Amino acid sequence: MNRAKRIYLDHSATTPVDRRVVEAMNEFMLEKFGNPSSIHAYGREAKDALDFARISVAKLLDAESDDIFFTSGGTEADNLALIGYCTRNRSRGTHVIISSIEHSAILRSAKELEALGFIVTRLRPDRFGEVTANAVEAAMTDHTILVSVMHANNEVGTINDLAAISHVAHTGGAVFHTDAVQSFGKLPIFVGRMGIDMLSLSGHKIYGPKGIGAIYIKHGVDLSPRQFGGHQESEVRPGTENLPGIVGLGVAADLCHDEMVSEASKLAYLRDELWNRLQSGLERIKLNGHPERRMAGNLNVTFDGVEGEALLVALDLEGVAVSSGSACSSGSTSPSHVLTEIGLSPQAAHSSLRMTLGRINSIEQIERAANIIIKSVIRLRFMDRPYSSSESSAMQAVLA
Amino acid sequence: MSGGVDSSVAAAMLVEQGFQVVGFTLKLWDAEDEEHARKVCCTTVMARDAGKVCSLLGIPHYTLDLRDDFRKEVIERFDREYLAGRTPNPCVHCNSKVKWGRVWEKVQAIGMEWLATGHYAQMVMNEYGVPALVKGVDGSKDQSYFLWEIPRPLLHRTLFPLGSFSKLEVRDYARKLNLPVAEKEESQEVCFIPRDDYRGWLKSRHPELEDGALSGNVVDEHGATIGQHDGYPFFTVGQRKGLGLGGGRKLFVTKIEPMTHQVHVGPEEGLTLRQFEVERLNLLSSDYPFTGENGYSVKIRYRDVGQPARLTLLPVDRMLVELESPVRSLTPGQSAVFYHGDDVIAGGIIC
Repeated sequence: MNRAKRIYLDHSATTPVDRRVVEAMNEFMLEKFGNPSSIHAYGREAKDALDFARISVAKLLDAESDDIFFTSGGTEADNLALIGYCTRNRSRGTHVIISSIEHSAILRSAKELEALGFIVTRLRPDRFGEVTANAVEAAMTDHTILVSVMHANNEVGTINDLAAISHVAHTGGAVFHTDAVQSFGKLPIFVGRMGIDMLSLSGHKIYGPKGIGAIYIKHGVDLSPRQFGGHQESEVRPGTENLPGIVGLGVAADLCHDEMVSEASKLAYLRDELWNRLQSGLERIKLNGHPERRMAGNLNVTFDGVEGEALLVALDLEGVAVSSGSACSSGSTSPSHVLTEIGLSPQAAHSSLRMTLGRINSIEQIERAANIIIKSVIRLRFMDRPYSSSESSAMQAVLA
Repeated sequence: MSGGVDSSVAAAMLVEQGFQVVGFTLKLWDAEDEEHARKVCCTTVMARDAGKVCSLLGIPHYTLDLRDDFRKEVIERFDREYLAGRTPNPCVHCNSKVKWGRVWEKVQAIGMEWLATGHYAQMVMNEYGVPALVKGVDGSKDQSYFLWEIPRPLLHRTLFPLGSFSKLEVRDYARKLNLPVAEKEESQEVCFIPRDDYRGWLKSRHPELEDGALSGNVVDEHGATIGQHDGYPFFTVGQRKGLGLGGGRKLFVTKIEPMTHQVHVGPEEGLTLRQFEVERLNLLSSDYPFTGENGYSVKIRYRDVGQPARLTLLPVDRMLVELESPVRSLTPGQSAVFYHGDDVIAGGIIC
């Protein structure tokens, strides 16, 4: 498929790097390549850039820039938050609460905590994918030291009420962490008002480069580093800073700050347009996630009677990039844990696709994508059956 | 695509011929251990190699998860056949039920018009445009024996790009294209059985075999009990070794009776047969009248060179086979494939 004709609808997986970000990064690879720890002019200009980027990220969180620590991405930030905090504060308690629809970086870190002797409660969301403060409250014990609930879900896009959840956590004496990889730069976040003690974020979901992220750690929250070395990042995350990446994340954050509102309304418009077109072109489709409180660019749909894996391949061959509820390409048939946790049957979860829109999508692309999806679903519904069935051969003739 | 030489070169040839090719790797079962996974095709490890080949060829590549279908159509049937005292050909059913079954259903639904594999066999059109399945040109590699059960309506949607080449030529082709697989070893065993130990496999899946619930008597050609065995599914008609009868006469398994658990043995003469029947017949051509005609031959195992035979069609989906000269060890459950010259005209299961 000709690259120019392809349509990318998988922005929750990753985004293209904004040209303005690339230009800024290039400067810090080609010219201002210094090590921020060096004393000379090269080092100083690098150090300045590091500080500016930290301010840019902090501004999007309404946080102090001293509380931002750069990491290699969201996964490292999540590991640092869960394992780093719990191992340092074991004497205060050994109970941790997470939700059952977290990203695998949280789920796997929680498993590691269990191996270290901690007790983990995994809260089920409601059928819209929302984790409620009531559920957190009911799970709190005297030994709970950490509550971690994601801000927006990566598959169905449902947004949680973090202020309410953090209030419950704090009342019970626990600190509150949120994985904000999907929402950072796209939703307003105020760490103070929302009671967030730790927050994970990533660069490549907001048109920044891959391999860069950050963790916000509120001043006074103490955790053990997961790696050891020099004095960089206040020794929370030592190692020579990924300066081009950090500069890129800073610029990407600035762009989000300026364009967040207009972009969100554009994406919601395109997303609703796509959904309306799919609904008028297809029967037996169902929207997953919260009908209103979800990410502007997220559309997760169950196409009854269609195997998500086959639809994904059919769309890819037509140049439309989406992702399937199931991680088929990695060789697992187990359907998406998020979709089954919000109450879909394994079969329905297997029949679901996630379309996530972004900055590069246009209304023309959405119209074209909708037509291709409708055509492919109809085709698959009639043809993914034994070749001998008369209905399918009749349909083959019709479609031919 | 298994990541091996044959399917990789098949894909490369089709790309060269101008087809729009899409590579699919089948995930059929989970390896019990890494060693097993490395040795055989069709696993995640091999999917990675197939992916590399496809990216070299500039074509898309996907993994199809068909573990459920493979378990139902191939693995469970394999076990069932042994428990019924027969010796199955799992590769035959994998081809007909999985590749020319579920795979075809899936890929035609996403818009594919042809199904191509790296089998050494040929698909030849006659002057009326009717396709015929024909042996591969490389006689030592010909795999038409495993393809007899392909549903006939799918012949005209099937391509075998390697059929007119020898294995040597295919390896050369792979080397010329710098395909990373050019020097890979071949796999011959039943892919899902670890270490080629089907007895161990059956035991691990059917606890009743461990308990001796399927044990019984070993009976000679006169009906006399001459020993005990620990489970009739562990035997194959024609087998000589492993009877546990000590020295003395050369004895072979001549018959397995699942109802009574009896394993019959006898001298080699007791095995020779001139006439047998085949069931589940699949006709791949309507050009041959069979009954009363000459010029047919039958293969009763993969490495068989082929025996001249007279064939008589029987109702329903059966064939009576009369061999010109008797053969030793005809194994119930194995495939019998019928040829006219190099054309594969039908196949079935030996009763």
